Amino acid sequence: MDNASFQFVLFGLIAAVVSNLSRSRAWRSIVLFLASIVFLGLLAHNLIVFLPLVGFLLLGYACLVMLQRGWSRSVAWTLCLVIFVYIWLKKYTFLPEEMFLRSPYTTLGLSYIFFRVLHLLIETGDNSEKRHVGLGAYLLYTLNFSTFVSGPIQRYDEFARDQFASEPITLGLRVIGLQLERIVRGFFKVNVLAMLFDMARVDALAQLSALFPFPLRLQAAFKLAVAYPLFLYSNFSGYIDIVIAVARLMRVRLPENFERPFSASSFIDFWNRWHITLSTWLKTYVYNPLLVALMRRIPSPGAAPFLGVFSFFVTFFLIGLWHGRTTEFIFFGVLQGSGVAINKLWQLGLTRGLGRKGYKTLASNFAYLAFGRGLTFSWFAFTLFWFWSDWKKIDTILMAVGAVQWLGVWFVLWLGATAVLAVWEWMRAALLSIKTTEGPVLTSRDARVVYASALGLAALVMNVLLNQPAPDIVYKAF
Amino acid sequence: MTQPNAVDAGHVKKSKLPRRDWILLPILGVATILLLLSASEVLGGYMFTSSMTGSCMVFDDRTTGARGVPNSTCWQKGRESHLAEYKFDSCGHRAGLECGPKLPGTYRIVMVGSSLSFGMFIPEDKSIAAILPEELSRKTGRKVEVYNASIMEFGHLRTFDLQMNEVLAAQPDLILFVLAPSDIRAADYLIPDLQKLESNDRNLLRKVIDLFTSDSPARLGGGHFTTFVTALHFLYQSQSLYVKASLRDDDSTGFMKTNPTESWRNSSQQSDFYITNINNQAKSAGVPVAASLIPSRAQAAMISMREWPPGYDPFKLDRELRTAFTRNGATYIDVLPDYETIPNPEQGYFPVDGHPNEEGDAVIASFLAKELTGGAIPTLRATSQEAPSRGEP
Repeated sequence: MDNASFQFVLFGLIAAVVSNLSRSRAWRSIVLFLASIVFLGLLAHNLIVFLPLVGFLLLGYACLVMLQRGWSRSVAWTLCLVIFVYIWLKKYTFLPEEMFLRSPYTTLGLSYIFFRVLHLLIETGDNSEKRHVGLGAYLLYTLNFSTFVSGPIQRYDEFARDQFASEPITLGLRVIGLQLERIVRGFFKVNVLAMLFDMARVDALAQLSALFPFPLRLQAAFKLAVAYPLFLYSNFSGYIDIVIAVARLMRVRLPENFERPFSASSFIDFWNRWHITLSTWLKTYVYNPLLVALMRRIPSPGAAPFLGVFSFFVTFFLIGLWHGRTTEFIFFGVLQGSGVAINKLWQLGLTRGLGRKGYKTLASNFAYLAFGRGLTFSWFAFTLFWFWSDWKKIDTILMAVGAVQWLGVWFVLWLGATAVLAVWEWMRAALLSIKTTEGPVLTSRDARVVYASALGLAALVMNVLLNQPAPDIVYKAF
Repeated sequence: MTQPNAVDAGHVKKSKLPRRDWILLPILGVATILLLLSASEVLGGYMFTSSMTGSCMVFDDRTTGARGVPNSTCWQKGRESHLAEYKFDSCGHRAGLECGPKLPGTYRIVMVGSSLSFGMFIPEDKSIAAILPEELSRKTGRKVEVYNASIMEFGHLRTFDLQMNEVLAAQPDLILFVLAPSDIRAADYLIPDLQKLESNDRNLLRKVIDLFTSDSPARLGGGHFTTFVTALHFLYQSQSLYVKASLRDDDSTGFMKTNPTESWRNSSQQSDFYITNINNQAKSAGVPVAASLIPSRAQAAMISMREWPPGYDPFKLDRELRTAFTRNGATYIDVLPDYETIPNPEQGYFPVDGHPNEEGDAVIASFLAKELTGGAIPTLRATSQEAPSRGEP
């Protein structure tokens, strides 16, 4: 159930149908609450494993009540407390092991609840918007089954706007059709595409063994580099497609989490398109306050761009660090931070060298965009080695192909990705340019029905034939 | 093509579908599915045809079990294989030799097994029975011949037991049992219920129900629908996916479970019974017996990868068979560790069907030759100076 399985989709659809039996706010809230509780119950055989999560939720609510009652001076303390409890429950390795709870418990969904709770506390403490969040609304917001496992991280006001609206958003046949098509697409991404890319990755890893001739090992290293980003995208964005569609069928609009990330022509742009809700959250609550604080301390206008670079580094380093507690994830964070920081420096350097207009002209050049896209994909693929792998495996890869040849693999990947993504963008634009009076043929209802039927059939055949679950949703582990 | 919720105002007034869409869209959906299914059935049927021409097996004789028709010839094309000719000698074996006394000075091995050692889907000159004597003769420096008494289909341990007289009549210097895990699984199986098999084959509804209710839809689907054969043929090129999918099918990989199911335990007990019988008959005739287990496709892949999930052990059946055969005075030829030395051994099998292909038969023959001449059978010990093998400089 914590996967993009057929059962999960069915559960979501049933919840949506029941929720739509009445348009009343109370009914929809009761259904969402019950569905979320049932969902949690289905995730664990023993409800005791949820006790720490319940404790965390109650702590968050207690802090929220304090802040709502005007104890706004204690914002910093409450934030520190919530962050500490989160780190403690997630068993970050820099804490002494004796501190951790001995009995087994689940942290599934904790990260996403953490972001929502922090958001509520900061916004409430900030006093910028006067609002009262009751326990019921708080639980609905934090335990919402559609966003529980892997997000997207929705802002409270957006959630409340739809969930508690006296007149819920409309749900006509067109919308239902679009959401069903999106569910099929998401299901296909997770259960077919992600499975195939994961299969390619696992096979490639096995082919790095010394039993294989060197050219095959080199080919395997290349496959390894390409397969994982595509797997991760299919896995995560497919799941997000399903939950966004299910939520929409329940008359709640969740924020988008992906916007064609591999079309990004720079690493900064990439993070505007990949796991959008996480990067937006961090930009709002880390980047902006950090930059403002630094600019207050160092008010020199000349330093401002470099303070931005530094803030970028810290923000995206934290994104890496959020993913895990090992040195691999720390390094992953360093690579993410370096990626955006160097990207920013590059932009600053070019703007300084070419002038604002010159840089704009260059940045819209077809070849520059294409190479930028290729580089962005390759860099992201490179950083992901520290995301899915460990130092030992990375050492195995280096030993299998040699350091110089491995660098060669990345160079070839850059060129390959440049060409493939350029062709992809061109094809997409060409197909979307075929239009009728109602818009592009490719996004027409007829076309959607055709490809949803085809994708649904493919997913069903794969499911029946392989008789095994698709790889887990990667982001539920964080 | 995603319609982001950012542009979903939530209060779309124009939410009614035109009347044409109520009719057209469902038709489009169904038509797409039917078109895709029929196109892939046609394409799959074209790419993966199967045929059987001629009749060269007897399946209804309970006194012998399945056996070949003497002096018959038939042709078979498996869905993933080329056309192969099966020529049976006057004793009803695809022996590669005429049935009769061996030539003086020749060391004769009578190979017994099921479809795997029979060389199902493999041309005779590419089969184990053809390659093994060449390898053995080259390694030992003496004339070695292999008389293939293997059974094409539905031949398992009980059948081998029933046909031991014929095997001994071929005057072997050594009886070599080349076993597959399926021979152990179906140890007690004698003759098929052909009527039931045919009626199942004709009933489309039955096929579809089976597909959704079976523990192994892949096996069933692969048998019934060419769409599935096509899909599986390509999917099963992947080592990891194939192993994962296979391990969900207890019938074909349950023998690797460290804690096997009741059904596998029964099969194992039945195998012990027949192995003892077979060995006793050979012992009475004074003929030595050697036996070897050839791994299944998933098993070979796991051994080569040197990793398997907890609760599985690809060497378990090998150890059990070693005990069963050596307890009865036979020699056990262990080829499984040799699979650790080759990459992707699963490519030596037809992905969906699971039988070894030509490449696989060559590998099996070379491993058997290596182990047989490695000292396990003293009369077949390799000489220090081997003649070059076929294709070697």
